[in-house]
Amino acid sequence: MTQWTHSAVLIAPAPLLDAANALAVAMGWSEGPEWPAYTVPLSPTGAEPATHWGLRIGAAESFEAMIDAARAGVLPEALAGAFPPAQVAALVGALIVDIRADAAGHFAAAIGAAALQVVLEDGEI
Amino acid sequence: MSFGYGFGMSRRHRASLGHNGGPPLTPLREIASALASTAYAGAVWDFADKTAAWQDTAGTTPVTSDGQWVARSDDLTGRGQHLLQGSLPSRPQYAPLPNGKPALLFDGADDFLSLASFNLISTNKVVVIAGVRKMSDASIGIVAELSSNAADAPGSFYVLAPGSAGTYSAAHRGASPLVAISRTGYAAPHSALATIMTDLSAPRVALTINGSTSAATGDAGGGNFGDYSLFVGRRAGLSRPLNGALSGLFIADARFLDILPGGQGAIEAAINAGIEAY
Repeated sequence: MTQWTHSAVLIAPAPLLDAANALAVAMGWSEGPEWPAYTVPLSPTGAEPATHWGLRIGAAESFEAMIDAARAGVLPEALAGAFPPAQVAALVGALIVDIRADAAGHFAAAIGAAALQVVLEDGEI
Repeated sequence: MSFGYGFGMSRRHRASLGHNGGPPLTPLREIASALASTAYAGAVWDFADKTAAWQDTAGTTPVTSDGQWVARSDDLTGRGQHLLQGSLPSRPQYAPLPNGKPALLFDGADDFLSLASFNLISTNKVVVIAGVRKMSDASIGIVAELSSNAADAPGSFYVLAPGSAGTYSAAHRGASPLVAISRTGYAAPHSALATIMTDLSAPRVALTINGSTSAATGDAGGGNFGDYSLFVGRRAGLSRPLNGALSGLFIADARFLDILPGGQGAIEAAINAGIEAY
């Protein structure tokens, strides 16, 4: 069985959504722009419009170190040359990153810690 | 259980079964072949069948072991109505249920599969049969929804696990607002064989959980079902994520049940073999 030892929740501010999704494509997290990686609309009240967009993904233990390195401008080999390190560092630095060992309830806990709620349409059941 | 090829499965359909040279003909594959031999709309997805699961939407990298993310679940009818997910974070995981049998695990955050066009315009009667395990009652979870929001789309339906704490729910609508039905007394974690029979002409929507049925008969407005995207595990890929697992899903023109040997019970038995709900 493939073991994902950690769960990662990443939250991008809405103005950075396109850049965050483009980086996800470059990382191999998406088959193309028609498949965005950040798909959960979030806002402080749960009302539209979304101020942030989130995702949750199973991750290896090394993922946190990769995030720390990206924030320092050191990119994984797959991204080398695809993006300027400073641009990636700025983008990753703006992400809310929450990594935990237990996936159960992680997304709800992570957005709660960020004082965000999932956006629902007006009147949506 | 065997319906055999004599039911009318064509050579084309025989050739379309699975990958890797042809997997064993499971009961759900036999049912799918029977459906494919008719003109009735519908599709069959066996989430426990590893040979129908892929790690990319193109269907080039098969799922080979537990824990892998599923980008595509093949429609077993051979009609190409595959459920897809091209984003890694949003892919459900091929993983065992508590009974040890495989299923698709949806994380309750961002996992879902979708089919861009699921055409049910030829019927006003649809049957949905799903093997479901819900892990939580904390918030509404979409098992399957025809359209991006059934409340706004004439000729649509949804199935929820839960609809509210301790329930399973379903609804359909024609030209009029949704008519919904819930069954209570099923606190999570809970496994269910859920059967939804909707008839916009009666009008009637019935929800059967593990053999126990309730029905609602409010006016749903008539008409036929639509040609919409089908979402499995999340509403429109945006909200109401399913925190749970699915072992199989059958959606078709309900008139197919009248000609299938064994009828509704045959499909329920095939799906319940994976979820073992009761």
